Amino acid sequence: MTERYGYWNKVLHVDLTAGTTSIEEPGDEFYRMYGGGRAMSAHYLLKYVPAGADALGPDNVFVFAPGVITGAAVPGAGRHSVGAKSPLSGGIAESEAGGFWGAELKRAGWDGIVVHGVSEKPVYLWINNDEVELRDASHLWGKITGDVEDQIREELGDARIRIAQCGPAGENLVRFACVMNDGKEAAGRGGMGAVLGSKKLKAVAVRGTTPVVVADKSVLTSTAKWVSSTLDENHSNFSHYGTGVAMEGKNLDGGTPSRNFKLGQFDEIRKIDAVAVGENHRIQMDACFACSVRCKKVVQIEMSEADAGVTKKGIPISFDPQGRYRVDPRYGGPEYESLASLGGNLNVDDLVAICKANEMCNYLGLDSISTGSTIAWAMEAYEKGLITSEDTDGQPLRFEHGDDVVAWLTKIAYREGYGDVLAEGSQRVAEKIGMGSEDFLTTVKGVEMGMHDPRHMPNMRQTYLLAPTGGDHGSPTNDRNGLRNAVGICSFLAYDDEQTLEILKAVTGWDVTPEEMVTIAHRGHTLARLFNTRHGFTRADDVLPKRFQDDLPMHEGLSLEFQNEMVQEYYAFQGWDSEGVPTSEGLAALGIAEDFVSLTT
Amino acid sequence: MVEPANLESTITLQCRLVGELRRYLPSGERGEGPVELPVPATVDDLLVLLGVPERESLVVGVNGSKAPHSERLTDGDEVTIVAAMTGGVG
Repeated sequence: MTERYGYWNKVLHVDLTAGTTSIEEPGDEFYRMYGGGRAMSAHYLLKYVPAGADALGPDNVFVFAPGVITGAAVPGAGRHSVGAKSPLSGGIAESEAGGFWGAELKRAGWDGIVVHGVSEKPVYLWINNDEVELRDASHLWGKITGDVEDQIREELGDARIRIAQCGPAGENLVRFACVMNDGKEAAGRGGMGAVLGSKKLKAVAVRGTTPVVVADKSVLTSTAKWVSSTLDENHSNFSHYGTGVAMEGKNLDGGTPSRNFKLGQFDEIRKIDAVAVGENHRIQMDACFACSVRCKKVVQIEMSEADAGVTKKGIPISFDPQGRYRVDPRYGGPEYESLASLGGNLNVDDLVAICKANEMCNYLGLDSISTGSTIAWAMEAYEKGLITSEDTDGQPLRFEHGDDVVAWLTKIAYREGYGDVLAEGSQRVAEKIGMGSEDFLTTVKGVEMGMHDPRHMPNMRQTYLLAPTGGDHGSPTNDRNGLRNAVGICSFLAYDDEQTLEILKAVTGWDVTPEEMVTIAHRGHTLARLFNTRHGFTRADDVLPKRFQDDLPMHEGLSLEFQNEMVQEYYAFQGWDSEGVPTSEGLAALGIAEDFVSLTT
Repeated sequence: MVEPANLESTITLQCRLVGELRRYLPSGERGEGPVELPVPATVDDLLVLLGVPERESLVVGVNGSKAPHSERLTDGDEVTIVAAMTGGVG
């Protein structure tokens, strides 16, 4: 038997229509080609999702894709990815999350799950090591994420079960619904929760007890020691505050998303950054699997001073001085993207309301970025009189009003009133109402952009223009992040390329070269591009929304000529033709299966 | 407070270091406090005096506006020092 390290050569296929499961053994070459993550998802999506497939129909496929490093005992190895055709963009969706779920799946003996078809009734998938079962989820349908976790853990009798699920937003097919992992880790982008909801797959519960076998444990042990002993040098802000500690720097630099990406600065930024969260509402920092950086904020806010008190560890618990909201710590705390999308970009300086909105996104299963940006677009439309109080049944959509944001989240998740319209995402609503509202969209390929303004940040320009997933801030277009996504290691970890290579070798035992690492990244990106080509995307889709042609006070707008130059350079770099279509020669060079050559030029 | 070499030709700045940078202003309450340094002094001179690493990557605000590291500082300036956000890594 071949010795395998880092993967099991086992992918679970679930046919929800038939109610059956099967096991695929893809073979060693498959793992060396793809690593996992986006590359693996794109492979299965190209293989199974036909052109024209309805993203919310039975022909779509949903892929859970850890990488070969996921689950190995080294900091950063808690990442996994999910992939499907996006109900928001109509192209490929891929979203990555940290936490423990991906590692638990690997420890259960699986390298991925490919979900086909649609169930007649709500079900959840229970994976207990090598035992797999589809179970009725009728009693879970309609419940928020925390309640679903409690119920599943109770009925299966194990508090250590890890759960990925769609919330009510996914059930209601909100086009930017996310997949929530253990209540606080979101695979947020692209509407993946809606795909789960359309399949009536409420959750995937996993328990795994077998450590991932690695080729050289000593390297991972020394790497883990290096991370934990150099926190002050390499991860100081992350480990003390998490993401969002540098919001004031971005603001000084004129790059803050503010008033629907119109202004570049927000005067009240100090009230809502990660330092403010840390000083006012945070009770602890949490970790992902095997990671000593511990960059995940946990906030708790009680309704009144009388309810507040202290945690078991003696940390003071804050309260809402206005007595409006309680924020449950089981849903974590706001990352930078949420602080900006539910706060700064809406000109909301009410940190309690922002924390509440973040909690609600997590228990309803809403992507905080697309949710916040759709609301930002709607607020500008409301300000301009393009959406009226009559449309919204009297519920205002006002910048600077945190309570308005909180009120709209429930309406969107349950498609109540005008929330049903906004649940389609800002681009579809703009196309519906017209009147020039398209001019202040912040979407690329239909997906609302992350909270990094490309006018301010040069490194985000290529990302937003060319990410196959649209307005994706995770920089999937660069080799570093592309590789990390595929193999399953966190982009926040301060490993240099040499360390990443060492980790990959130590986990897999592969004699992998730096060039091969880059090729894995290119392969994933090219496969994703092929998927979009099949589903009708062209060069015309590689463009930023009109708003970003406008100048900010401190940064020039990005002209169409500038964007076109950048796009052409990237096509050439990837070996695609002048229309951005991968070539058959390019695929051959990447060793991509001949099955996909018909999609090339 | 960080002691300068020559108190007769110094300026006093009100400094605020954000996040974990505050440890480079050990005497400062919550990362805020006065710093004296000899004149003439630039933003970069201040960063060197404080011993902040990777200073080229930091964003510095003087009296509320972003300042280049070559900017000359004057007595009473309010200086904010904060890390730059890299973006695209998560």
